[in-house]
Amino acid sequence: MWLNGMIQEGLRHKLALFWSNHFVTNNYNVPSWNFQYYYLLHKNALGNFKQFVMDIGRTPNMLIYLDGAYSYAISPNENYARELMELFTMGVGNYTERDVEEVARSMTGWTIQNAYYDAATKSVVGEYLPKRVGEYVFRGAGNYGHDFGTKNVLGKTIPAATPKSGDLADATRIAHLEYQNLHDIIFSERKDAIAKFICKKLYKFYMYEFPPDEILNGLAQVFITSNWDIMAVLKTLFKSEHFYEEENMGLNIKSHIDTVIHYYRTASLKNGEDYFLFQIVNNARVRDPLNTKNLHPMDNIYFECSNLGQTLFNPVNVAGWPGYRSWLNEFTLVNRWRILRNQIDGQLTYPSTSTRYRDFLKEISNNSKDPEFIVRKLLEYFIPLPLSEDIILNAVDAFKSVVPLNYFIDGTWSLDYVDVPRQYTTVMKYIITLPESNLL
Amino acid sequence: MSIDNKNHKLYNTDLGKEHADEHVRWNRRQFLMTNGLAGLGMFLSGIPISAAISEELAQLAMANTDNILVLVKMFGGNDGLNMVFPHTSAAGVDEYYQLRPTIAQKKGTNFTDNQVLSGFGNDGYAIPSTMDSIMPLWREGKMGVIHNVGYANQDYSHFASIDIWASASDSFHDKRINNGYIGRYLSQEFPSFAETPPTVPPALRIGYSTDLIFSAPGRQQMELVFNSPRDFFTLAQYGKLYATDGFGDCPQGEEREFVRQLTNSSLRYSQTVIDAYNRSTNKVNYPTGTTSNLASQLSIVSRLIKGNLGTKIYMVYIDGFDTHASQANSHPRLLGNLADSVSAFYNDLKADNAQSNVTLMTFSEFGRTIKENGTQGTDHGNLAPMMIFGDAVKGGHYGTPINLQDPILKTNTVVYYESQPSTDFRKVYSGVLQDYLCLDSEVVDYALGQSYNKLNLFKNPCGGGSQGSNLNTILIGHSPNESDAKMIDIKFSQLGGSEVELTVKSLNGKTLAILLDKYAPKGSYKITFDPAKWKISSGEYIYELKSSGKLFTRRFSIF
Repeated sequence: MWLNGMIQEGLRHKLALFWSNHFVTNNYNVPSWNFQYYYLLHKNALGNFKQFVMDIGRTPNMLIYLDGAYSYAISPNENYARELMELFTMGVGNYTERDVEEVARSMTGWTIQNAYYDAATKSVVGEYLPKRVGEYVFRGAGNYGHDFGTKNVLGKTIPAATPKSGDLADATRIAHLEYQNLHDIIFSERKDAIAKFICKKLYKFYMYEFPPDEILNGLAQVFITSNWDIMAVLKTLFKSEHFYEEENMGLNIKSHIDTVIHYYRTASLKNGEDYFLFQIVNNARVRDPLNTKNLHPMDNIYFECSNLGQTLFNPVNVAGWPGYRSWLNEFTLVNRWRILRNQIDGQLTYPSTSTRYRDFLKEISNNSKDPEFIVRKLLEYFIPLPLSEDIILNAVDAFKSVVPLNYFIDGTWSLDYVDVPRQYTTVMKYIITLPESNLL
Repeated sequence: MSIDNKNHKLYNTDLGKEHADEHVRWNRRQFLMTNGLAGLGMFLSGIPISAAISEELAQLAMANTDNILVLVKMFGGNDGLNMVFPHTSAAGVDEYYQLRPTIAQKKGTNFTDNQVLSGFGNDGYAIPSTMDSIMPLWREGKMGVIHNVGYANQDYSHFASIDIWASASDSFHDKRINNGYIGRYLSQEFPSFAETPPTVPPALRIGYSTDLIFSAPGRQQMELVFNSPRDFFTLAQYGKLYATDGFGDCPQGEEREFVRQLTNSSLRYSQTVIDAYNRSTNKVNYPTGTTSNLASQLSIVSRLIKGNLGTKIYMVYIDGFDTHASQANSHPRLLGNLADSVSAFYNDLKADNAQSNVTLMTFSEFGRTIKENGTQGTDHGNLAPMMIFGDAVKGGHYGTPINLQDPILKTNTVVYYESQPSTDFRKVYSGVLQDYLCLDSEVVDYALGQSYNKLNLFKNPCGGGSQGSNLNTILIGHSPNESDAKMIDIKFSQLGGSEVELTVKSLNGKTLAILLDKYAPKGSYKITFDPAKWKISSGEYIYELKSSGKLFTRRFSIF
């Protein structure tokens, strides 16, 4: 679903991938919990960052992943508190160990409820809570609940509170207020650090590992004045001259998922025609209607990218995938070639795909009859940088290699020729091995 | 003084314009037609990658005496106090039980007399019985425990701290944090890695991504990364090398050089690694069915070492040490997995008599709090022991063990033990680099960023001879001649004048060609070697550059 979204709709889903690598959690195989996380990533992807942080902090996957669910008034667990400041908002160097302890205290009491499988009755006992976004499980006061004492966070005081004894609703109300107050403090006391930290990550995701200071400062200012509007930052970036300058092209290294998605997107392949999520036949998941072995639908792409170290829902650790050059090494590169080659071969199974490849070539070359011109256009389309003549001629040879040479001379060949889709896959299998095809 | 600046200058001035288009254009069309679709993109024009290595040569090459270092990264922050713990009153066992009522390793339950680390003067400490498989190494005096290792002002963040260990820096804000200590050392041995990469990877990591440890100044990664040698089998026998310069001194040019360099090394290395792997087998059974795959990682490393890949530094990893809760089961199991894997690794090497020059060292980003927390676990702490194994290691205890009778432990709820006597981790590195990897002290200081007193961990420390750069001559490396790929250009630079001898030898040391034997004044040199002229056939060879009493050796292939 998510991969499909990235292919068909782009921005929001791609950003959700970014945020899943920012607010890292794990997959606990509870569908309602995964959905809450997935939903928050998509809902907030272009929304308000502060709200995003507040939502994520109490979502079940996060409560488990960073131990919030096991953080009690008598023994607060620092795990989430530390990452909230170190990785999710301001970065290291902006808080003290004392702040970590105090934030940990302030976050105590928010938890989840687990169901379990009872072997005797062969049934699931209890239910997984919270069930949906906006619902919470809160333990109230007491040793194993929320710490209602005074806290001092980033130099500001969160005053002590005394909920009515035995009144969970009152305790919950006060704790909600404290949760809001805590985030108000974090976002007002460290606004410059937060704005820079997040804008830097966004810039790295879309542009380049080393953002120029003046661009970064500009984006951070937009972030603060827009009161943490992610969309405002991206609009500023995408509309800037900087974004389109020739010298800023091809600086980014594609992630594995980017590589695959890029291939699907550029040839405008369609879900349900050119590839399939999966199909249910006789209660079993079947990869595609034709049941061809080589085809790589979405679930297979998921596993292939996972083998290279990029598993959706499950970044490598709490800091997320480091990205940039760490995507590429001899192992991943060799495997990228293999995955893409299989994909390219597999796609030819469908008549709709053949038509789409043919149409794509006609569109980019204005239905040219000159194979060299067509390949040059194709390279321009896929590779962000100019290539040497040597490489271009290799690609032209690859494109022509499946057709008798004289057909190009005697006028038999055009983009309506029967073998054009196979010519396309042949040249594509060469293009994806070019070093520059890893750049974006 | 900065050795780096010197090399950096050479790097820029010597190699700038030497690489023209190195491709030989064959009859591409014919080539594509005959090979069909299957290998397309892998063939095309260019230089074949596969090297012909005969079995005989491979056998001779087994006599290689280069020391090899295997690093084991224990990620998550290993609870060192439950790995090497006190078991006598004098060592503080009573305090240990008080501080850790539910998770302490108890005699009879978690260990017996068989796991006591005795025999080297201090027998107050033991390891859990899950680690029993490494006790033979201890008893043979091939295992060292370095107590309370860490650094001042602990960061407590996993990521900042592991980067500090990788970069040998003081803190996360230290400028050294941008690259790793092994990367800096290797950048000295291979000063022009991107332009003339060595035939074998200087470092290798089993896993999925690169590591800061191997990052050299200029953001060059010095290691090859893969998860299994089989991953390379998909690669065809032939590939095409791309020119890696001429893209200008700008970010775009840098990224382009990077992806091209990487494509080239993918093609080159894949064949070298497969060959080494296939030359040897695993002779013992490695543990299976464990949560980590450390054993399978080490089984690969063992085959590559025995197959004489020629790589000197390996890194493997084991994850799961962030034991905030319920660690009583998981932590001993992880340690058992570590011990069983290391034990199998050494037995396997020993079966082919390849263990003598292999040292393995563990590290983790930090230890854990001394007191257990409310969830039968421990939180991020500070100091922890390191372990080091191998024939070369002088077995026993190093550093000062933890003092659990420290009064501060009685009052504080969270104790990071700042006040304990500790060993700076860079003293350990310094010992390994200087006494085991035989680097000049100046190169060691450069790699670590400053001078540290080394820990004396080895039985026979190197005699001060250095491999790699010296201050007069710098071997840059070799690359195919741009006009004829069958010839090889060997490049070096003289920072001052000296007698220089450059010879080509077989892997068993027989001299086959003397390319240079004269006084070479200050300047840059490119010596073109034509194997046909010397009647040398395809295969693996070495060349040696002798200058100012120092010897540089590099392996290379003739196609």
